Order: sequence, then C-alpha cells, then structure tokens
Amino acid sequence: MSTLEELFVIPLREGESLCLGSPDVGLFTGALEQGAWVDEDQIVGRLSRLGRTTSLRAPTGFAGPGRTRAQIASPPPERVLEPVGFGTILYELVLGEGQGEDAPIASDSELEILFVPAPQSGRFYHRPGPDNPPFLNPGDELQEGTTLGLIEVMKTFAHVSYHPGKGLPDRVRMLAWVAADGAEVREGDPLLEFEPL
Amino acid sequence: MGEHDPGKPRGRDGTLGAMFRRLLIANRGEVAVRIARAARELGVIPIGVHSEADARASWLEAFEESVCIGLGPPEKSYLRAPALVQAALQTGCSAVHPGWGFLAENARFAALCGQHGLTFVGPRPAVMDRMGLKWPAKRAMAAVGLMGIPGSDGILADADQAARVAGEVGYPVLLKADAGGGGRGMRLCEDEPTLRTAFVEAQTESRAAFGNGDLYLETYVSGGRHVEVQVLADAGGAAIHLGERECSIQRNHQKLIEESPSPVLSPTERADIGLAAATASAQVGYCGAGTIEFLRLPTTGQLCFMEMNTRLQVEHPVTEFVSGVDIVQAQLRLAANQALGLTQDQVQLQGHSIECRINAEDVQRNFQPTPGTVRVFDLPTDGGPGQVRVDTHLRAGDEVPPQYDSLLAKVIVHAETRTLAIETMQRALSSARVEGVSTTIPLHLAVLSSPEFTRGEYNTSSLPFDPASLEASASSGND
Repeated sequence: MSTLEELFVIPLREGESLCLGSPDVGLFTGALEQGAWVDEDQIVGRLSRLGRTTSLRAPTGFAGPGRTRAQIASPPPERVLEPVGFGTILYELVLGEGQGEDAPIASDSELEILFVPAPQSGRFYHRPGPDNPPFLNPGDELQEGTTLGLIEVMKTFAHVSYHPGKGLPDRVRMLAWVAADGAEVREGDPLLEFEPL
Repeated sequence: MGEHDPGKPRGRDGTLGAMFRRLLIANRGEVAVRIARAARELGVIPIGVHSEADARASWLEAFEESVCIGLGPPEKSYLRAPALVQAALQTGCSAVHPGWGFLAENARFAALCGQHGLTFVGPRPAVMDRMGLKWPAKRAMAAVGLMGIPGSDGILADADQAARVAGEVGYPVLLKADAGGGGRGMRLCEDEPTLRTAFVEAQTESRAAFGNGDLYLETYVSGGRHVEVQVLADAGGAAIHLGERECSIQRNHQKLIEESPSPVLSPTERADIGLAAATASAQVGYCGAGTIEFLRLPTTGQLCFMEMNTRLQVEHPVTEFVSGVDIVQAQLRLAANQALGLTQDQVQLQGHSIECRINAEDVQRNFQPTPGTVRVFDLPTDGGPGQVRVDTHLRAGDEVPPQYDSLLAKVIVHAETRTLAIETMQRALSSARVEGVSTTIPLHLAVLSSPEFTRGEYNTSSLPFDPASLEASASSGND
C-alpha cells in the first residue's frame, strides 16, 4: 500500500530551471521520461524505505508564481530502485512558455514594524516543551523580564526575556510571532512584532 | 571465545567473527572521522551520513561515500533511525556504528538495526536499554555490588514528585536525564523554586537531545571526583578493564579535561574498582566497549556508581594512550563476534595521558557558543616533551554550524609522568593558533597552570584557575 507524500522543490541556481529533490533516503522507482510535463499534485515516482513504498508528488506551487506545470529536462537515468539521499535531485525541469507572467509582488508597506530582536543565533522555541503552551500569545503584554521563548544553541537552552532600552519601550503588547516555533534565527532577527503601550 | 551469541547477528557472510565489509557511521564530525579511521585500519569501508547543514563539510572526505539523511536540525537527520537504517541498507553496509550522542544509546535504534540484519556496534538492545537508562542501570549494578548515590526511586512523574523526593533526601539535588550524558538535561537545584523551573528546562533539553524526557534525581555531592572505568567485554562473557579516567575538570557538568590515571587512586583502589567494573559488566551480559562512571565521595573516598555509558566516550583517547589498546578497533572486533584476545594480565598501563576538549566557546562571554568559519586552524603536535595526538574533523576554512555541539578538536598528550604530560599539553596549547571562532584554549591553559591542577587536588564542584591568568592568555592568543 502506498501513501502520498509531497516532494519538495529545490530552486536551481543556474538560469530559470527548477529541480525536484527526494524528500528522504530510499530507493527511487517509477521515473517519468524526459520531455514529460509535470503538473501540480502529479505523482512523479515512488520511494521505498525499509520495505514501505511511498508515492511522491509535485507540490502545489512547485513551478513558482503563476505557473502550474513544468517540463522534465533531464534524461532518465537508471531509475529502478535507485538509491537516493535526502535532497538528491530526481528531475531538472524547464518552465512552460506562455505561462507565468511575473506575478505582482506586494510592495513593502511604508509602515514601520516594531519587533523584538533575537539576542543570539540559534533555534527559537515559543514554548518550554512540545506539549506545553507557548510562553506568549498575541495580545499579551511584555515588560522587563517577560519570557518570550527559548533559544537553543549547540544543544544548550537559554530563556529569552524582554529587556526595554535600545529602542524597546518599557511596556509593549505582542501582535504576532515573526520567527516560527522551532525556526533558525540569527542574532538580531525579528522574533515577534509588537505595539508600544 | 567459544559460542556464538544468538542475540547478535552473524557477520555478513554467515561465519562467526568475520569482519564487516562496509560500515555505516551514523554520526557526524569528530567521532565519525575517528571511527572511519579505525574502520579503514581493519580493512572495513566506512560509509558516512550527513545532514544538509553538513553537506559541504570537508570531513565527509573520510568516507567512501556519504548519504544525505535530512535537514540540519538533529531530529530531522542524525536522530532519524529509519533513515539511517535505510541509508545503511542501500549502501550495502552490514554494520552500523552510532558514535556518541544522537542515537548511540538508543536501544530502539539498535533493535531496528538488528531487525534489518545490520550489526549494531554496541551491546544488545536489552542490555543497552537496562544500562543506557540510568535508573535500571543503578538497580542492576546494585545487584552486582556497585552501590549508587542516594536519590529518587526511579523516574520522576512530574515536578511535584521531584519536589517531594528532594524534600526527603535534602537539597541541593542534581536533576538528571534518564537517557542523558555529557551533562545535557542535568540541573543542580538548591531549592524548590529552582527545581520546578529546572524540571521543565531539563525535560525539554533531554527530549531534544535524546528523544526521551524522563528525569530522576540524586542528592548532590559537593567536592566529589568523577572517576570512570573503561571496560571491554566480548560476547563469550569475558571482560577486562583498561584502567580509569579522571574527568573532574568540568564546567556546567561538561567535561573539559580528562586524564588517566587518576591522580587520586592508589594502585590497590585502581585494581579493585577495575575488577569490580569488569565483573559487573560481564554479569549484566554486556558486550563491547563501555564505561562505568563513579563519583568518589570527598569524605570517605568511596566510589559510588553513577551510570554506565554503553558507547564510545569522547575521552577514550587517554585510555588508548596509556593502555596501547585501540578502543574503536576493539569495538568493531567485538561487534563482529570476535573474542577479546587480551587478558587482564596482558593490559599494561603506562605513563600518563591528558586530554583537553577544545570547544568553540567564548570564555570572555560566559562560554557562549561561537559558531562560524574557522579561518586558521593550526594545532601543532611536535612541541614535546611527550607525544601529542589531535583528534579533529576540521581544517582551516571549515564552517562550524550552529546546529550541533561545539567540539572543535581534542588535544591528547602522553608522557612518562604527569608533570611531563602537563608540560607537553601546555606547549601544545600555547603554540596552537585558531582564528575565526573563539575557543576554550585560554581556559585550558589557565587550569593547567593552577596549583590545584598541578597537585592533582581538584573536584567536580569548581574549576581551578586564576581569572587573571585567563584574561592574560585570552587577550594574547586566540581570537
């Protein structure tokens, strides 16, 4: 029995082409031919892992803004139970012509967004543990010492607290998370958006 | 060695004791490179794995080939047991070496390997489960005569229970991760409020590092010394020890400097504790290389069983230097069902060895990890008077990614006496040049020159060094 799993897209640096990479370690079978078109949600092969076979499909939006399909440019190699790793390129694609007029990109708002920066690089967590509620929710007030989350650097966890000064007011209200739970952040990256009180 | 142990898979060609042809190293960085070296020395082809964050790392050259097993965060790559087993199968490996950390003490991973016909380089899953988890190990060791430190009777259900037990045994207490090691998930708690906060933190940390958030607690012994015995046991029930390592130079329960022999044990104590550790290993059915950790009480000098690490230890090279035994090669041989081939009488411990763990941490900024690019990386080994060995996976130009631990290299020395070993280490570290990331070298130099370390009078509670000498060496040397 097969289950569906989405392939993810790796944008290739050369020119306009795109690649589809394997989502896991396994044996790849059922490759499509060179020149075939790949549509969104189409099954593009199967991956066998520890005896279980998964169908792979092209995810929605894989061809970029305004496009729904792409053509396989790479010649089909030996693809019967071919060993692949995570991210191994399965297909190189070329984008269809006549499609994909440059999608309008929302222009940056003129409004100044206020945010709390990350004190150091690492992985940012909203909650003390996977089963615990987040330290903060939108609407919560922050003041000196309020815990925002945890930062993990090289397997060491440290609390991140709110400290006024350096452009941060004494009391603020949280509007939204900017860094997702578990996101990699760099020092100075915005963690959450706030409004002054 | 006589009989085949039915619990261990046979070699790939079906014969007893045949060495593996290809070995999957389910780890990264320094330990992966160390294992690859031992494998090649035994004619085994090392196959590596890496995360996307490590995809361009120079240490991947140590392997014949390497399989990408997922994204940078450990739970999306190095902790994914099925992906590692699949990688071993599709590269034609017949054995898996877990290294240390990650899945090294995960009995389910060991069992999954066995289920797919792969030999796991380590003890059998059942023994590992018992010894790898701290609490069952304590019970098993008490049964064979190694007594532990007073504390909770098993795993703590929640912070409330922790507070209750701590109240009974008395503060301060040490909260420990059942699946832990290397100080991860460990917290010293002076009172109940600290304990309650620490409980959540330690649980989170332990779950992230080991995939298991179980905690227990022990009464905290101040001024004790960490002494551990290296054992080797074969599937036929023979077990020996390779002497002890003293690992009391620690910061936040992270070992910084290890040495062998311990400056504090008498020859009689050494022989007694070694024999006890080897006997206990044999009695619990242990096979492979293992380490039994003891806490030496400052009052009576009694050695209390702390835990058994069912894996290779970071500090194994000091034992290799004094015993002349290659522990990683021994692990592979024992996993291939070969006999020990060495009796206790044949083990000759010679000279003195010291190891310094060089981490990418800023000693001036409260040991904050400093990931980045290593621009200059020069750790000379020819300064004398003793021998110097450097175990590392890095070279100049390499990236130290923020996702993983901060170990850059280990500098290990061996000389006839402890004094000469210290001098060798001081020369090696003084001439080391590392630029691009901060390192703990200034701290090592400060500790090595402290009177407490020189006299061998130190313990796990405080780091012996003069802050002024730390300032001096930090500003004059490594940036």
